[in-house]
Amino acid sequence: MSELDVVIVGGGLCGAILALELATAGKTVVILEAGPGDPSSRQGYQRAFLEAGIKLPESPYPPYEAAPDKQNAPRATSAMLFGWPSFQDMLDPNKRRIAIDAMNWGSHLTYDPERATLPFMSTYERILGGTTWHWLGTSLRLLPNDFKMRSRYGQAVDWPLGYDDLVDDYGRAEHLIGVSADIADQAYLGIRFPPGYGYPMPRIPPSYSDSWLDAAMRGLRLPWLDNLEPRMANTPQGRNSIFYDNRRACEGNTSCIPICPIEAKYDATQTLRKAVNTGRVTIVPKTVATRIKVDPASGRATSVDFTSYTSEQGGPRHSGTMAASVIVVAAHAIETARLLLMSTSTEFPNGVANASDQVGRNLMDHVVYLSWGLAKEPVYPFRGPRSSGGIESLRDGPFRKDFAAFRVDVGNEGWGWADDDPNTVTRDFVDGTDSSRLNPHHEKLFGRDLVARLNDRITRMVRFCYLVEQPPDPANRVTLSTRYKDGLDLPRPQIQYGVSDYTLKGLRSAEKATEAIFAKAGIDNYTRFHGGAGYPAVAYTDEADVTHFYNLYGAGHIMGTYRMGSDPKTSVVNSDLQAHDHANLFLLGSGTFPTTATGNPTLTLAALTFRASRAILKKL
Amino acid sequence: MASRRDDFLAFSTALTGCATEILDAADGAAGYLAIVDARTPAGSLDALLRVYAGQLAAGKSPKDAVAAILAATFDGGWPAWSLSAGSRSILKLWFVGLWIDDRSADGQPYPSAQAYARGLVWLAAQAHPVGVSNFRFGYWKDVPPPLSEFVGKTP
Repeated sequence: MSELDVVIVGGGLCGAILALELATAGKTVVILEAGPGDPSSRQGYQRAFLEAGIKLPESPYPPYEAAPDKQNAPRATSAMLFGWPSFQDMLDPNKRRIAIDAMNWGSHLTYDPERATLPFMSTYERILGGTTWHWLGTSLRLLPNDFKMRSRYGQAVDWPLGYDDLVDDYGRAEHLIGVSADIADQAYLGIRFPPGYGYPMPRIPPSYSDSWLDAAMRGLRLPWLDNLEPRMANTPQGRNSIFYDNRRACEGNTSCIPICPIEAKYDATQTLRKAVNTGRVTIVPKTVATRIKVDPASGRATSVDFTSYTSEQGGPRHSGTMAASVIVVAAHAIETARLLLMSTSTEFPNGVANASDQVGRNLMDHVVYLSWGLAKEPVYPFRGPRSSGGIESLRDGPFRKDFAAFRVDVGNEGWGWADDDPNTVTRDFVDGTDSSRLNPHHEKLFGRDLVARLNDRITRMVRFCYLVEQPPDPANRVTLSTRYKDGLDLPRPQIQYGVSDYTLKGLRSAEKATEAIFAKAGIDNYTRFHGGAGYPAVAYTDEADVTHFYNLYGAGHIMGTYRMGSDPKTSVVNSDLQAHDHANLFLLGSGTFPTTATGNPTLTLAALTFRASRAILKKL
Repeated sequence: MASRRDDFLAFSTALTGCATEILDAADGAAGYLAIVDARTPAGSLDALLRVYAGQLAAGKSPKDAVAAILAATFDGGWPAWSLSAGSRSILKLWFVGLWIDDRSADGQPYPSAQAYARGLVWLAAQAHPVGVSNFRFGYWKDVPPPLSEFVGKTP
């Protein structure tokens, strides 16, 4: 037996929860974190965000430049998508090849210019605390039917466990994260809570616009969605509504993505601090795992090879190996698959945990349809948490036999995401332009007239973000680039990605929902299609032979690349997140999700980590 | 005797429609004045302020004086800097915290975190800069205070 009980690759949410659970049980743990550790202060990240000209989810966090070929721990960023070819250029093989070749140099995620159809649009962080630094905080439970897509609707696959198997771990996750919600709001579409259960904090109040919208669309039914009624629901949120866990209540900075300046929103650094305080957890930052080693005779994972570095690019580095009784990889869905695929050997030519050839396959996201409009009266956005409510009532129904379901995240940040506002509308009314389409008469205003016009337009902005299901497709996958490497000379990920008819029909359903809801509520629809470079897009031709064009966005929900299942031939881990091929190797995170389901993944991957922790403790 | 900063503030009050004390909160005028000086040819802001003062001396209201400048009435003389376009850059600076002219690149960083956070557009929206809230828990469930409480009163 090794002296060290467990080595965990990745200091994000899963790694943090697992480390705390194991250390509390008296086990010794080392976390290898690819990126830097805690910043000298949260204010440093906050300042980087405030000064960033384009405020993206990754803006606060290092590395700040796009130099994945030189950086020791590069990661995907939204800015790397700016080089994606325009819709027209994608139709021209030469132009597509030239543009994607150019983009690949500056993008951690690379693409085959001959085969690529869409980029993967979600990103992740490689810093201590992981992507929880810029998660929204949405802490929804999945629906019971989300686990049963095959048996209920004949689509995709069932999970090897169900809602009832996770219900207690959901509760544990809600209390660890600190979720503010009211059970009365959350018991819908089959979600049940054990008797006596309560969320740790009262709910976050709905925004003024949430309440306005719910009243404005009351009574509407959507015929193609089994006549369901869209209703606003208060979102369970991983942010404090009262003083909790030594953190204060939300002050509504509206910057949950990319950073909560007052730490009212949960992030994994909070759990990591507790884990370290046990005295049994050691975090080793700036250390990239490069290979999982397996003993061919026993099939057991024995150790993790790593390279430690000192500076973002270049600089001294040293390599080593860390052995432990149990090896855990929790490096998010792309980097975990990358590490497993890099871990080839004579005995395991496809990499570790990959006898099924499923590692890297079934890459999924919630595909985002974004729509925005102008309400007939002020709804006062740019206030409160970035989102406090959503439309959850459309997440399930028999229609899922035919097309994808969605939930709708309703924003409190106006057209900030949709159209870079309030900057775009301000420039329009100062310069007499009409980029926003809010200034069709090309007025040039100043003084009180400008203030009044901006007030009128901005206070009426509404934004919907539809998170559309994407079924698993083995062709959507992460492989290793044979051409592009990072600063440690490790192959960068190569992505093949697209969306199926099932999702395209779901996008059309989302578009129709916007049309119906906006009409009912008296909201003028300003959603528009961008055909230019940097706006990934698809076309969908419906039953009436009408073609619709959609820009796609990522939800930040990277899933599926080492999915769980009962059959080792078609899945990578079992329902305890234990690799089928290696009894002491566990793979955590949303990479284990067999389907996207209809809820944001964080609470579920946290709950699954609690489940895995018990299985791991049995191994020690 | 009014200082250059006072002249800049007076012009900016008419330009933005926001009260002088709002513009000058936390010494915002000095920060923006430094940005204007850094981004414009030497002497051009002073030329603009002289033209503005001249219009007031000729009996125009502050609003009419700014309107005349923005209408390019005084463009084409010295300096070789468009007083109308320059004034619009100053206006955008006050509202969004960025210096935007024909030569500025999309996506340029903000000159400082303060420049971003002092953007008047957030006040015009009866809101706060994304990432910088001075409000307290739960404020978002209610209608905000009236616009005048954000932008102040102007003459």
